[in-house]
Amino acid sequence: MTGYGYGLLSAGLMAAAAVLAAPAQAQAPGFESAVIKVTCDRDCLIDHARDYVKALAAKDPSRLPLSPHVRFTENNVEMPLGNDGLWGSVSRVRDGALEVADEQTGNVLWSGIVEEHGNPAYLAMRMKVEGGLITEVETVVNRLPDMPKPFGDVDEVVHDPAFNEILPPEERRSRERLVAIADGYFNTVELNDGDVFTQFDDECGRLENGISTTAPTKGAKGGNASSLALGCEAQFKLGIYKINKRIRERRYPLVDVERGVVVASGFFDHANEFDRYKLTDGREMKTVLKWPNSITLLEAFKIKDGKIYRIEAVFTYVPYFMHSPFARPNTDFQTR
Amino acid sequence: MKTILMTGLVALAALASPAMAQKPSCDAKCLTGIAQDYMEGLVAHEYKDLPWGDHVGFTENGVSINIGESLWGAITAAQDHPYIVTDPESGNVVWFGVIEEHGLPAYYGMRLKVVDKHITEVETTLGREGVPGAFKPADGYEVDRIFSQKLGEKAQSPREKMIAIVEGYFNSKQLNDGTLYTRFDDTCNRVVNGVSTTEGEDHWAAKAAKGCAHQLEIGLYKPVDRVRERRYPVVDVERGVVVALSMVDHASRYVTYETTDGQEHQMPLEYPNTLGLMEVFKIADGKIVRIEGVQALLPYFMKTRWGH
Repeated sequence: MTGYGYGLLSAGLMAAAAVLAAPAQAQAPGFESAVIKVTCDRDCLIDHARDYVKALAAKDPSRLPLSPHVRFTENNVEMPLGNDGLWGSVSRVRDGALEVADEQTGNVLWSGIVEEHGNPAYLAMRMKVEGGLITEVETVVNRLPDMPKPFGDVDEVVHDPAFNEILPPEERRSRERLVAIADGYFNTVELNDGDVFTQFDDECGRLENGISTTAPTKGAKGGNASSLALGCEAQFKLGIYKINKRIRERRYPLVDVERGVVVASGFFDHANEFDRYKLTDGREMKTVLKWPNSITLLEAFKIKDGKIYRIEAVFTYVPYFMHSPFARPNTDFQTR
Repeated sequence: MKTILMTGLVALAALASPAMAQKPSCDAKCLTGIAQDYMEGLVAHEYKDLPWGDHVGFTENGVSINIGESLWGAITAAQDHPYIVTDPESGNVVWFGVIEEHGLPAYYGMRLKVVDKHITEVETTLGREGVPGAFKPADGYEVDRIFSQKLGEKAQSPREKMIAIVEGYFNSKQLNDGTLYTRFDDTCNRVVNGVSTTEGEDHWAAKAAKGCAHQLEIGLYKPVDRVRERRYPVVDVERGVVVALSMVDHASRYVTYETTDGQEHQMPLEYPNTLGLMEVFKIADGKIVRIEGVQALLPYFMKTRWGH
């Protein structure tokens, strides 16, 4: 017997095994082919997303080109697509949304307003399209009533047109750098103590569930960080977000290099091991909630000239340390 | 064939008999002690000295998490006189009462499974203030003493019958259309997160109709689409107690509905949601006398590691 038992295989079996194995050996992990073909461009992906929300409004999933193995989650719970969750309760999909597409990965984001029995809710939906079929749909639905959180007036929400603007070549950055800048943002939020691990544009602004949390906003209610400091970087230098023990299960499924947009998914763990903390200027803060909780989010970053210019997020509370079925198996939360 | 079958049965009987005759390695006193030690360790934020098994499963409100995280980091106190119920046969013990997180009380149900005097499972449910749904400030809350009282022999039911009665409660509640699959004592009351859902005026269901049986007889819980992941890890035959865990799904495909008495009702939450519940049932004379529990509002259709 030769090493690894090859000697036990007949010549025929070995040939068959070689034929079966060849395509897999030719590809890098995670890629079906060494040549990435764009089969559905930005417009095509955005059309898929719009068709999805139209089908959602009509409660008719049969209109959609669903893969037989499509995976669907709502607030990180996997369930069959088309009857449960928002599909069962939706009464309207409002016009207008933030739309981002990544031709290379086949992912598209639709982030806008829906209604359930007339009650407005924020929906962020990431969809993956492969070979013309929808293979993944990941949704975050932010609803009321809930614990204290931003929830802007849905009639006043404006998605910044900057997300759609193509950057001049000198203001663009590579895919890897764009992801690093967004990841640096999460590193800054995590255990926020004043250290900044990314770069912000001076005019950086953030919209969370329809409310600006970096600038004074009409209708903003208690707990808005903009009452403590204005601007993305200033807030982080003040250490407002210290309660974030971990930013976990970070994924970056969409990058649009031309427009400088990254869409990230992840969890913010608020362990609440303490209920008071000090800002870097010495002021004492009290946590709004006293118990452990996590928020799940889909967050879009507009990055111009290597600096974060706009952030738009939809998030909601989930039980502390909840996981996403889309996160890598055996994800180690220590190393992310 | 007959011979083979008989041989098989004999073999099965031989396999089963030692277990049936075996005395539990951890009796009620032992289980109670381990639960108390766990709670002491929890409040002290010290878990390393507890008698852990080699492979431990731990969940808080349905999420698998490492010991030392979440409530282990936030707890500041635990009730002195909680309700503790044990089942040496299954090796489970439940601690039910009030804990505090940074001084804020919350309802807490905790199930421990003990194998060979080592903790192998910890399942916890927390009902916290500020979350939509039933909640009465937990200061001074104590589980009704009836759950600790022993029943006369005639009032007791066999273990299997007790589980069937509770199972019938869930079957009545799921897609509730007025059909009863269980039996209630006339005095039956249900309390969740300190709020009576069958008496008084503090809960939407109690406002709509009174009494455990009557509510189900008019189909008040029609919006319950499923009661899933049902488990009954603790049964105390002497005291007529069953501890049940379940996930109650409200798909919220509609928000108004009519009960069989012609009344129209509005659902308290108008979006899909799931309640994770740990409930203690008191059963006497084959009827449900009282239900007390703790519930957590969870993402719709969420699953736990225990349900699979």
